[in-house]
Amino acid sequence: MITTRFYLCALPAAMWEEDVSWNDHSIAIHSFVEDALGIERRIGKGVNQDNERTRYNLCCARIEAATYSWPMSSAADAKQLKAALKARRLPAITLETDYLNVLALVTQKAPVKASEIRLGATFFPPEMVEAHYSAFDDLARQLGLAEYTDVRQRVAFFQLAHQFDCGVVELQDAFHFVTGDGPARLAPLQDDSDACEALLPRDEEATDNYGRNLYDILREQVQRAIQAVREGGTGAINFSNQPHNVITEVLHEFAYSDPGDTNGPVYIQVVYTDGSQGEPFPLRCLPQRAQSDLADLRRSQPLRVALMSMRHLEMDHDVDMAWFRNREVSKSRTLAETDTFCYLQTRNQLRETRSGGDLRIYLYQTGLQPAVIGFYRALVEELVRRADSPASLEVVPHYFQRRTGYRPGQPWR
Amino acid sequence: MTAPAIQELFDLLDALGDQVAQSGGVPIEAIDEVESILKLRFPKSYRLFLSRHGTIKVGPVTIYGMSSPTDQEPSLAWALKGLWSISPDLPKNLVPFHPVEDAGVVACLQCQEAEASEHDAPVILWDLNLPLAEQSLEHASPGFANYLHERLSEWKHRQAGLERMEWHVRRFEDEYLNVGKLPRNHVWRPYRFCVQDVVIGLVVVRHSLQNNWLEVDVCLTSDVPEYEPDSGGRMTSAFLLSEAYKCGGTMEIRFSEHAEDGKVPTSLCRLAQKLGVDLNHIADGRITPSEARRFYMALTGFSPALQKRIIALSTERKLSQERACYVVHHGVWTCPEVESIVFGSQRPDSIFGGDTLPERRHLHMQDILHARAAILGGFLDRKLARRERMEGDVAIELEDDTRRLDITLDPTFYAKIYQCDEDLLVPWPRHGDQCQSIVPAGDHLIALVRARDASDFNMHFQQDLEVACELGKSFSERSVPAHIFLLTPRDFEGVPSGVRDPLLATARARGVGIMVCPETVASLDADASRRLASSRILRQ
Repeated sequence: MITTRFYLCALPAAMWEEDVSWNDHSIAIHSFVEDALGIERRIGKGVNQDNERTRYNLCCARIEAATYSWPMSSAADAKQLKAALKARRLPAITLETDYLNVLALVTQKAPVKASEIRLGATFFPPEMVEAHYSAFDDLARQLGLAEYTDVRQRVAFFQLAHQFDCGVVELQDAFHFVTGDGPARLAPLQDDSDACEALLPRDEEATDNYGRNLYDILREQVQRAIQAVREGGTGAINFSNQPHNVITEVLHEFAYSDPGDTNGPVYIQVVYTDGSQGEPFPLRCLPQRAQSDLADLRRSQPLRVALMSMRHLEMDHDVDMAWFRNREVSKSRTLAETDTFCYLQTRNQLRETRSGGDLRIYLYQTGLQPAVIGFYRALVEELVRRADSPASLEVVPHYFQRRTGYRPGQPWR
Repeated sequence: MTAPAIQELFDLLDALGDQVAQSGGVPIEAIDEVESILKLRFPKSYRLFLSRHGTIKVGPVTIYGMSSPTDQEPSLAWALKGLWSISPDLPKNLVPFHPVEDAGVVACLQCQEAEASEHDAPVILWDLNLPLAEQSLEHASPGFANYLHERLSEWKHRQAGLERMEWHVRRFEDEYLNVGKLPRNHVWRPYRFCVQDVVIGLVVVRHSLQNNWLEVDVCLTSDVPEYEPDSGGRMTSAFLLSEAYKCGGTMEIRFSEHAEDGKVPTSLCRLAQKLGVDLNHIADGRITPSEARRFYMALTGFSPALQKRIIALSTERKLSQERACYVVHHGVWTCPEVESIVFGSQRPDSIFGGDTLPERRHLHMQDILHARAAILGGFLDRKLARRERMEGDVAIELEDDTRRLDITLDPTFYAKIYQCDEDLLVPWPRHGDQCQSIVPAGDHLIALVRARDASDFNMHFQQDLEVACELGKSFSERSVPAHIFLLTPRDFEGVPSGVRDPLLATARARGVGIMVCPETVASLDADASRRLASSRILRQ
């Protein structure tokens, strides 16, 4: 059968710093590595992403091709690794298809952390090796994946590479042929990153919600999702087709924990119409605050903020600033990526406000669902972080209504 | 024919009122006389129709019967005389009663002989351009009342649908087009599907926010004789199902009271039936999510094996059935390419969703490598399917001049298997490699698709060759005539000759041919990236 195999190769530190010639054969990767790392940083900033990604592919392809061109020797322990280097061959091990499944699963379960440790990248210069494998090991343990053979082998190989001051390049052969059913593995991993429509409940019976308002319908869906999560299942909600005010108010209703509830946060899956899946949204995690806690906060002057610039120009004279730049949000990407972008922006901006004293925001909302979800996910996290301190942050959403103008929603604090 | 069917017909004719032009009923004796002249028995429903209306014309529907003058339309005598002269071999028990619009076809009652005790007469369609031997003579309807009721209902619904469509179009122009605004999914949106200047479908749809289903207010299709049968129905169904998916609902489709009185339109039901999909809520005007998924898969034209695999992956929550269909209807992937991806990749849904970004290099490369292989296989599909005709030294290319190829994928070896009822000229033989340049009709052409670049080949060519030999062995053990090839991109030529030439010699010795597609990995990857990128935002 055809399966995917990975080759992990250890490259001595010198190869990451300059062109190296072994047996009259030159290996030149250091400039591509430098470029690729620079591109990763720029992609993170969200600038000129299409071009940067194309260049990133080229750089990685060159690093991988240069590594491929070099003879390899199996090196599962220090002795073999030393012997391979002495023979001027690249020490390498192979990983099987579970590594791919682990990558997919970790990326799905902990996307931000996976990005931070560059999980899924194909090259790791010597100075990154130690930090990477220890973070990868921790993450694998947290997600219950540490006992998978491929995970253990990878961590061990990185440790070995670090011991010999090597960096690691990982190569992939997607058309590797093995006879029979392939290598023996642990129980197959269930990658639920795929087919996120399948996360949604499938209504085979007649749905009839005529006459019901959208708030009640979404409220019921969220209730069902929370119930499903508490019973050990998956609760997913498609937020794409919901009005932003309904989303905000329903999430508000479920964001707070009941007094005495010690179950901890419930994470519901966020699914969008385009088939993409956002990071889970935490519910039942905000503590209720007494009115007396809020007295000081209420005395502060509210900052009037439009959720996004250049959407409703007529409100410009009523607001002090826009939270998101439309130009940065409305890009050609999946809705989940837009959600993540808005989440990270909000998370960073709210972090910056920690030292600035009390903050009340009147948020004049517009109807881009992933922006709304991303904003409130970061807000909930920030409020949870500030839960043990006196109230210092409040967001009051304001929704536009054709007849009455802006109307405040439930305050988040 | 059952009495309720006859009653339903007459109720409908009464309801149409002034829109029905009739010649007037005739006495029973006159009908008996005509029957005795023709030595036939008319069915009860037709006799009642003659005695009640004589002949009728409703919109474009003309029903022949008894009227005067007898030598002019819509007289039955005139019709019989004309038909017998055009089609002398017309069986004498066929009584023409309805010229089907513009199709060169006449609906006829297949009457019993005069002495028969039964009165039943099914309706068959007689093609004026064909001799008796080539006529299908299949029953188009169980009887006159059903047939006419269906035609008149169709016309009535078409009229109502057109009026409703016009209303929607006016509103849409005022509220959206004229003010340069784009409609959201939950707004009624009218669509018209045309081939050149011929309309084959009209629909008005919106996504129901409350119910998370697709609502259809107008659904009209037309069957144009010059096009493939059911073209209108196919186009419209494909659109409705794709739209149901695009809007992100449950895939349930509901038809409003304006679309065929709240029932699932007949043309869609007919098509579903042809495709072997049961629709169990026709009268409720509802296609359930599971019915919609089955309909979508059948309509997309996936092979039974592929359908089975997609359903299995869908059950394991590894692939969305709807997405696999949607990428085909959206022109991103062809059915054989989808087959390669679904059987070959561990992450087909990621490829169809274009989910993974280049920063996640391994996951991204997994998608790119399989997309690249599917595209390379697609090039071979098209190359083999297209006939190349030569006039002297000039290659003649004719539109749609393609062979009927049977294409399957062997997922164990990731090899494409082609079979054709014509000889196949093997494309892209490696320079200087002329062996097995023709695959005889009926033999299998097997292409082990390996879309590797030069450095990758450097490392894996030996293994690929072993796999090709293994594959050849499995066919020869079963005594199946097969011609084995390794399909590579042009990068193969970049493998250092010191490595390549000995391997090529081995390949030749072991009977494995090499096909080097003129496309490079770079161009295949560019195409793969484009398709993944367009998949990412396909539903926005």
